[in-house]
Amino acid sequence: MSRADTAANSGTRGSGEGLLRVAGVLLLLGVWWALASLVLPQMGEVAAKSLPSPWAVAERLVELAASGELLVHALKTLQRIATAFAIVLLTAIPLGVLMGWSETLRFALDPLLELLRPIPPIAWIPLSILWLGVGDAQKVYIICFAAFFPLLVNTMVGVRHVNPSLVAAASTLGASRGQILFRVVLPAASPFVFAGMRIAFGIGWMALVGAEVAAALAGLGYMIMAMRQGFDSAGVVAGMVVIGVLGFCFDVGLRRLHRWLAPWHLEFTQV
Amino acid sequence: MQSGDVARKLPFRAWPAAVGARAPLEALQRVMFVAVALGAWQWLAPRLVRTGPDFFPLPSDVLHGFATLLTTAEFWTSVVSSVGRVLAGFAVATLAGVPLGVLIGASPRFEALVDFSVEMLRPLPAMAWIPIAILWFGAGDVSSVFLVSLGVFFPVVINSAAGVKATGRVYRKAALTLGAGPLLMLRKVIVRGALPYVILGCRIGLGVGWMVIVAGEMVGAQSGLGFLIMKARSFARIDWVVDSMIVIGLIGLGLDAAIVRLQRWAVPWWGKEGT
Amino acid sequence: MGAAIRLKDIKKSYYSARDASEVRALDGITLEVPDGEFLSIVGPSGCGKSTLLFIVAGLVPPSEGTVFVGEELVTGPGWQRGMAFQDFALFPWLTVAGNVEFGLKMRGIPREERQRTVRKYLEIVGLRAFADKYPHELSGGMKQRTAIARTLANGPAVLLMDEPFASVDAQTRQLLQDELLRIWGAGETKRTVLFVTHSVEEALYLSDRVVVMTARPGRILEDLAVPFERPRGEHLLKDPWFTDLRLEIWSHIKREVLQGNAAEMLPEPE
Repeated sequence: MSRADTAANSGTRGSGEGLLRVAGVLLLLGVWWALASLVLPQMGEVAAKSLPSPWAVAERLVELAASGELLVHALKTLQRIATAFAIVLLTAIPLGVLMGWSETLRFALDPLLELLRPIPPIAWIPLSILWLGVGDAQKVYIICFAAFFPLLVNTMVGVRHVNPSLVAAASTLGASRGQILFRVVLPAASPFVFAGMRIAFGIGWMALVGAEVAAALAGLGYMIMAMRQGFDSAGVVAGMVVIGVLGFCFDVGLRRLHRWLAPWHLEFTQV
Repeated sequence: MQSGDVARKLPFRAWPAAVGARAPLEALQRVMFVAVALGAWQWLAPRLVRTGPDFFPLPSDVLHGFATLLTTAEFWTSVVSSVGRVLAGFAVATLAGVPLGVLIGASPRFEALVDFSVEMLRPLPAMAWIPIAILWFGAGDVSSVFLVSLGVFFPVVINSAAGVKATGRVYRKAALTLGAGPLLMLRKVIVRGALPYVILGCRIGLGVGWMVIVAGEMVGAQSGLGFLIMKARSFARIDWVVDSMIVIGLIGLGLDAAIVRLQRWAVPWWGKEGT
Repeated sequence: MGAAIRLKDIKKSYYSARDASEVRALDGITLEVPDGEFLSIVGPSGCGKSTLLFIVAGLVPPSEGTVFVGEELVTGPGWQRGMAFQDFALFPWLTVAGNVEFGLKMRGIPREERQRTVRKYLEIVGLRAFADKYPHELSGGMKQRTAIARTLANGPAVLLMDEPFASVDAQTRQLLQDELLRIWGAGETKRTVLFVTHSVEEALYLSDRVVVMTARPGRILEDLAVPFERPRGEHLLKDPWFTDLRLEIWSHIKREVLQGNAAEMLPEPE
């Protein structure tokens, strides 16, 4: 559901739609506020406390930011994903390229990978806690596990499905095998690699939050769990907002990066 | 001089594609490599780390674990619990999500209205909903089903919308020129055209849902595979932990395969001939 | 520096281990193309003409037989056998200039010389103003001109063209044909060109000689010299002799197609 899609689809663009968007935003906030302040309090005190009003959430968010608590946990989470992502990029892409390029290597490693891949990263949590404890290393492990396979597979597919004409053209222009790999196959596969990166990030982010919610001593996931234990529903929602916004920013950031590095991908990518 | 003498390796293999009976050979190779990997694990691991069913299980431990685990009632009730919750959540999410997605795809106005809400809620991982779900619904079935629904909901909505949109222009115009009325169009053209996308959304959603349920059960449930795996760990039965992991993976594959079956039955033309 | 092409008894078969069947694509092609000649290959779909071209390029090894380009036996692809493709095969991440420069860069030609050559060939194909554009910003005709410039800039001994104008509209096609003749005729030495096409008219318009292939398994059916003088122009299309030749060649091909349809026709492996 991109802006471009909507624009292409609608007969009359412009103010009519813009108004509806604004209405949509207001509707969301309105329904939320109504539920929190009008409906639930009628259903009892417990219910009233369970959904904080938008205002209460905003207040709590400011509180958390000001006290520095939010920053501590957010940094922890970001640090973990950054480390893990660096590891994944440095391993999955080269391996994916090699496996895409060499049929033999692919046959050799593929069965092993196909065995590990179906196990959801979340399922690794108990085992990883046992081996690595509840700290950063364990979290990084979970993220790596989650993000590795999508990136690997996408890279592999990208390399394998490079337009054979491009390879043929390069070889009839005098490129050596190595030159073809680095100067033709890699650039040609990059749309898939970028797509893989976005997917890998999304899954990694989800796994990280899950791991922090399940068992952690710090981090945004831990924070919202702790808030829950304290019945601090406004805090929980505030934390969720931060998690959502961060995830969104990263995705947009990756998309921007993609477009900046590879403007010719316009034909390949869907916004 | 025969050209067969010069076997210079060409830098790619796409031209022409090597046709061949790869399938049985491939299967054999796979089995071989898996056997080698397992063998390495069994033989090599004890020399590197402390092994045993309480810390680093070997394939032999894992197999023994299965023998005992599968006989406990708790295992089977856990499986039923988890799968039941996933299916329930899946049902709820698709019942709500497909119509919503279709509506979004069909009406740009409606889309404009709802777009913000969807785009804001979508990047929030289902996992992040766990604490609030526990807060709202306690730690039982309801919160689990709620979480699964959330996970399944967004892929279903988005893919359904995409499906309706994709079917939109070309098919609709074609149908119009053939004199189709709006209701007929809806049923025959749009539904059939969008169906593959809807099913794809369901497939992705189910995958997410299965991940979410396991996580949710690890955190806040008293039953189910997620809970079981945490319990096994606390009892230092790591062989059972690995067994559960394998079972979770297998069920995930099974659910996915079921949807692919459904896809083949409902949309047999998908993937062929210019769809 | 051009070169002659000599094909000797080229055969190509594909084996499908799955059902132990053999597909004979080419069944003994012997052909000599003198240095500087423009030769077109026509024939029914699936007759193996593209396969033959790839064999000459060195992209596909023949099952039997040899190919010599100049004095060299062809054992693999190389820059002396430049190729133009139907889908242009431009590198989307490089600009027009970057594409044209590619072969020179890969071969280690120094920068100064590269840039001079690139400029020269961009001038020849009339794309100097578009040097910094990316392929996705160009029209089909411009893309193919870039591709041709890219191949020519590398200075190959022979030019192999695989239905290069099949992906552009009919009007652009006509213009590109004239362009090609102009570029080819204006070079320091007239390079040898091997041109594969579906269009008999195109073959007659462009070439010195036309070879007609049979349906699969491909053999040479006819080998005609094209009698029209150069420079060629659109007036040729009205020439009754031209039309006669065209119909004659087409009737050969049609017969092959119909015979082929009667037998089992498998799609050309590509």
